[in-house]
Amino acid sequence: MKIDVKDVTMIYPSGKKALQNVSFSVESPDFVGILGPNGAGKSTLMKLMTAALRETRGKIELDGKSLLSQESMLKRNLGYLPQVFGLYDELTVWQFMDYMSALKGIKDKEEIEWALEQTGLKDKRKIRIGNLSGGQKQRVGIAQAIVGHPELMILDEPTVGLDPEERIRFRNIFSEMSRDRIVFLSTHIVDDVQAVCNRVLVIYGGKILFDGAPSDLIDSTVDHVGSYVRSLDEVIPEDCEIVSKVNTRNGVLTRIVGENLPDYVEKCEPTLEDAYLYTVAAHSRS
Amino acid sequence: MKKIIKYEAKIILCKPYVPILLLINLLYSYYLLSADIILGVSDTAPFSGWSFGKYMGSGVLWTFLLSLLILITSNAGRKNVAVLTNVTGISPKKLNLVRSLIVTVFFLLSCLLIFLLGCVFLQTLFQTIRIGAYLAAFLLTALPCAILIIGFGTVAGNLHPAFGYVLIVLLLAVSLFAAAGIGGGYLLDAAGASYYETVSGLLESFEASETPFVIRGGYVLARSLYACLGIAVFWFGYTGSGKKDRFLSRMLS
Amino acid sequence: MNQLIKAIRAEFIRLMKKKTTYILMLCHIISIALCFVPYLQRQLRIFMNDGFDVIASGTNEYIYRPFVIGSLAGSILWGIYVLASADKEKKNNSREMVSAFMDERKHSFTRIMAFLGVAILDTVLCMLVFLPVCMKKMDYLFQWKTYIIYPLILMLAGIVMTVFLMEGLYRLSENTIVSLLVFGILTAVQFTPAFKNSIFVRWNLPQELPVSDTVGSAGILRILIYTRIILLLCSICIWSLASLFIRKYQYGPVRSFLVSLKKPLRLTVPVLCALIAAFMVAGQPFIDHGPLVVEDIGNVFETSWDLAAECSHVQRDYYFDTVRGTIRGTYKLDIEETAKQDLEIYHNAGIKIKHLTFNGEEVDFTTHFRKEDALKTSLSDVYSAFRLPEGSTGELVCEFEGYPTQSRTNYKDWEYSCANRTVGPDYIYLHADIVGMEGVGNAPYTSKTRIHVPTSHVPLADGFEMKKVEDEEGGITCWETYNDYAIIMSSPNEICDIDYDKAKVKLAYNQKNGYAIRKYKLDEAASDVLRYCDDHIGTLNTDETNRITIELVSSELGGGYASDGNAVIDESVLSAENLSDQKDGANGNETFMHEIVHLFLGDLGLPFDDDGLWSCEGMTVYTTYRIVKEKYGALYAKKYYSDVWEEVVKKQNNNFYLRNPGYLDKLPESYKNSILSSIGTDNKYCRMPLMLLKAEQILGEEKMDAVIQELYARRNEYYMNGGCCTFEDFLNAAGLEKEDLEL
Repeated sequence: MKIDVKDVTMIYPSGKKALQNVSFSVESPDFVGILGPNGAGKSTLMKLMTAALRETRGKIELDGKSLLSQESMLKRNLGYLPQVFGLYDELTVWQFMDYMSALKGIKDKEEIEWALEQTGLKDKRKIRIGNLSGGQKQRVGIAQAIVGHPELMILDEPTVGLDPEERIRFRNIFSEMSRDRIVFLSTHIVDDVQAVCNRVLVIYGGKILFDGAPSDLIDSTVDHVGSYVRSLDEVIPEDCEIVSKVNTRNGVLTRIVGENLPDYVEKCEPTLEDAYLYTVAAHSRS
Repeated sequence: MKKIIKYEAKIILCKPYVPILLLINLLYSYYLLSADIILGVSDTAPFSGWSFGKYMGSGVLWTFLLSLLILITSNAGRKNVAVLTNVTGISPKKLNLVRSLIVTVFFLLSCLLIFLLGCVFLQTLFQTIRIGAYLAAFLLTALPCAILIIGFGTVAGNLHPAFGYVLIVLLLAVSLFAAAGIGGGYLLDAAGASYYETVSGLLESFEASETPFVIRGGYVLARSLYACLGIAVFWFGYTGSGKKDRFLSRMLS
Repeated sequence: MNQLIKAIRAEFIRLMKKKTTYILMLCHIISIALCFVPYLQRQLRIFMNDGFDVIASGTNEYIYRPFVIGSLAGSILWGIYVLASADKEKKNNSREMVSAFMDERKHSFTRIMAFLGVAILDTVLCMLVFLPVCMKKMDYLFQWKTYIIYPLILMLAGIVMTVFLMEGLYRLSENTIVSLLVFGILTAVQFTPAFKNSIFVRWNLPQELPVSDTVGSAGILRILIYTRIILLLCSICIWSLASLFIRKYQYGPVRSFLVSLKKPLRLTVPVLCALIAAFMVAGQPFIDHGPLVVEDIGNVFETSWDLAAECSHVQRDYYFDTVRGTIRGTYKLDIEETAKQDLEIYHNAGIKIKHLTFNGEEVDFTTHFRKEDALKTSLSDVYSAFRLPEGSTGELVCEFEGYPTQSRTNYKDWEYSCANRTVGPDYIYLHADIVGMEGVGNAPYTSKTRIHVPTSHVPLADGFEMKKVEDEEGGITCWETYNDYAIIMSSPNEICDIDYDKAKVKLAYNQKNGYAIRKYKLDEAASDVLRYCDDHIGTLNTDETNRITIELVSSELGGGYASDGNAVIDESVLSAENLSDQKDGANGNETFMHEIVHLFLGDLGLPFDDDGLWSCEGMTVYTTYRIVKEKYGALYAKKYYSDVWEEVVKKQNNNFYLRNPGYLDKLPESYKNSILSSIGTDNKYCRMPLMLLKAEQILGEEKMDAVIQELYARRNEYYMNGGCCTFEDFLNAAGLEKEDLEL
């Protein structure tokens, strides 16, 4: 499967420009992490790729043909978990999965069993969804996205509400699934992208700031990340962004990213988070 | 598809208020029989086609409104789930159609219950029923409403619930005014109940004989128009272009 | 407290920012507006009056009933809103956030106060919207006091109760469906035959009561306010008790309640409300608290009152508190000689004797309900018994005070009534002998009854003007009558003379009705009727002074009656709706004329048998037709009378059950009786007049008049023999058979 997003612009009826001239290509297998602040256009991009929205300009192609003309084929092979979703509280976990499977045309009950097992819901299959906790409902959402081993998975903040152990487990499941399919993962948790994605798209203000391997993004930030100890009321150097602050006895240990770091700032090994902040900050300044 | 129908029926109808409202509807139908129909409509026999037609029409009206209410509340409650179901292989339009068919079947079965209740009541009391006339009344009152439900169901998913509530109030008001002979009279009545009282009153003979049960062409035409309206709304909702869907789904998102 | 007020304010503003609030207000206004649509107005009138299309007054049509419907509609709308809002808070977990900084009970109270604030705005808005409509419809009869009070106690009170109730139900059950069900049951129960007449059950659909356009209906208002307060207390009790079940620490309802009870003071509000409500119910002043007995009217003719004392003079003085509706006064007797037995003073059950003295010395007495005589109990009388030495002579003085009550026997379950005893600023109606002594009336004596009423009043005793004694301080005037069994009606009355040669006929009415009297020329109409009846029926029966008063009283009376020299008619005949009611003819005074004819036929004149077909109504309707024919022409009379009768009779003949009596027998008894009784009204008011018209066609008008005159001439004979004029008497006098008049 290959997805080509060609010069896509999305303007909502209210006039808001959600995406501007976005272009990229993804071919199976691939695990793409999408990073960006709130309102950057991540969810809009996801909705365009699920054919829930229609682009204002440009086109999205699936295997060389227009996505919209292949909507039914797309949906047959799509596993989608939006950021905000609802479930039928009156159904049990099993009933809901059975229902979603029927909608997706999945007849094999083993698929449901597998999805429930992957998401740790096997022993909760007979519990009404209304009686589940927030995290368990999130797992139901993930289960319905992965059931049937879809060829394209689009996951928007899938690990929200999960504890760290579950978060790690699920990202590993997604990573494993990405071996033979395309997985898009939109998240604020940079660690997840760094850990499992082989490609990252940084979106800011509707534009793609970076498209490439996470290691490349990190490399571009070398010599632009450092840390130093400062006093409480000391201002950070100009054109720098704070990554983290830790109060110590000697002062505030501050990690910063910036174009030109002063000499007193000790340079550090950049992480993906540093690289993301640097990239976004640089774009804001320009 | 069987599974989808089974689960949709469970989601739509297995709500606590559905059997309660249905029970209230049946109780009201019984009350109507025992307080009003038993006296006979326009001095016809209580077991005449006229009386039964009025009874059936009133029962159908309330069942129709109840069914619309179920449709609206079930649609309103599934907006958040729609983001998941809309990206499955099944088209949202087909799903809407399945839902409206489920509600329509519920509606027809409820009307059948009301029909049976009426027959049993009259048979028990008077040992006389006129099945032919009753069936005609049943079909003329219930079928157009059933088609309207299908039609409305295909567009309901795309409309704000408030439209549905306004529609219910409008239908009720129109029926009340029809009963009062205001506006188009019985022709406007959504369930067709007022035809039986109005026309039997007009045909009432003061020669102390039974008013013959007749179905006028105008009435059949009016009911057919309602059915056609349902078909038109269904066609508009079901065969709407992809462009429209995109716009509507953009509005929803 | 500051936090609470701020929270209430914030919640109120939040509600005012929601579209739903305004949609609800609009729906509420529309629901009240439906009461002004003529077709629906009529249907509602029939529904609220147990199937009768009775127009009591303009106030009923344009203020009372619309705001009763507004109460029901508002209760449903606001009840669902309160419930939905509480449920939404639970579902979106905002309640959890709020309970982090505010006690749940306080939060519930905050919500209630905010909703009440919005409900008050809604009520004010409804009142403003319909004010011009009511002012226009009611015209000169519009009163600000009425327009402000009734919406508040009917509609706003209903909504307030609903808000407390629904919030309480939800806190108790935490379930929308259960709360809605309970609300539905409490609303639906008001429609059931068992409870629809019980004023304490009619919480959001108050009963339709015949309020007056002119005299303020003080008695009705007091009953309404009193009962609405009790119901409000009950709803507050329910909420405050339910709030103790608000879930804490994820416990269930019972454990949460037990946790709440750790602060016993929390029970204060529900217990207080319940106690106050219970005391108010138990002690409510409108109904006597005597035993419920089966009324046995036959007893009245068998009971004889032994002569207890010979009196030379009796005097009563009545003073009124027109705001509280109470009476106080003195009852003095100049006793000549007492017999050797207990003396009993009878008085209304609401009246308490404060002092009883004989020749200045206190006399002990005991008060009881007369249980063995069922009829006396049904008149809401109690007896205060005392004993004086045999042969005593002197002055007995009884000082009393109280609120005149109605008989619980007649009005079970505290059904409303204050028809024949009411005290208000604009209207006082009571029997002069509300306090009296058994046996006194058996010997000759002189008597004087004095009343002290507002100076604007012109009181009548059995229709006769009372004699003015003097003006007193505080805007009070003293009047007196020598008829100590009279029915006194005191109100700002006007009295006009009716032009009639044979007797002095006066028409007495509240001055507010003067406009209608003059506009519809009712004095002329009365005069025309009297002259016609005099020529075609006979001379009017008057008292020994050859005078008669036609007295229009408050519509609370409902109907009318006649006694010597006095014919009392309910003022609803003067309501604009009745006067303009097309079905009674294009000229609005015909209903009034019908009532005047009753002075000759029924009431004071010829007594009639009532066999369901033959009654005074038939002859009266026929006579009114004859008057109308003479006044407005044959075509007019045919259009509005005989054609209408024919239509009704034809329809009746066509009635399925009359044509097929075999099916009537198949019906359950209650249905059968209901059908037969509805036929009865048409028989009396349409079939009988049509039969009389047929008789007239056979005999000719002159002979018909002669027959009626012959029957009328026998009225004294009937009175003497305790009989009445039957259909058989008519046929014999006319020389006709029943078959001759078959329709």
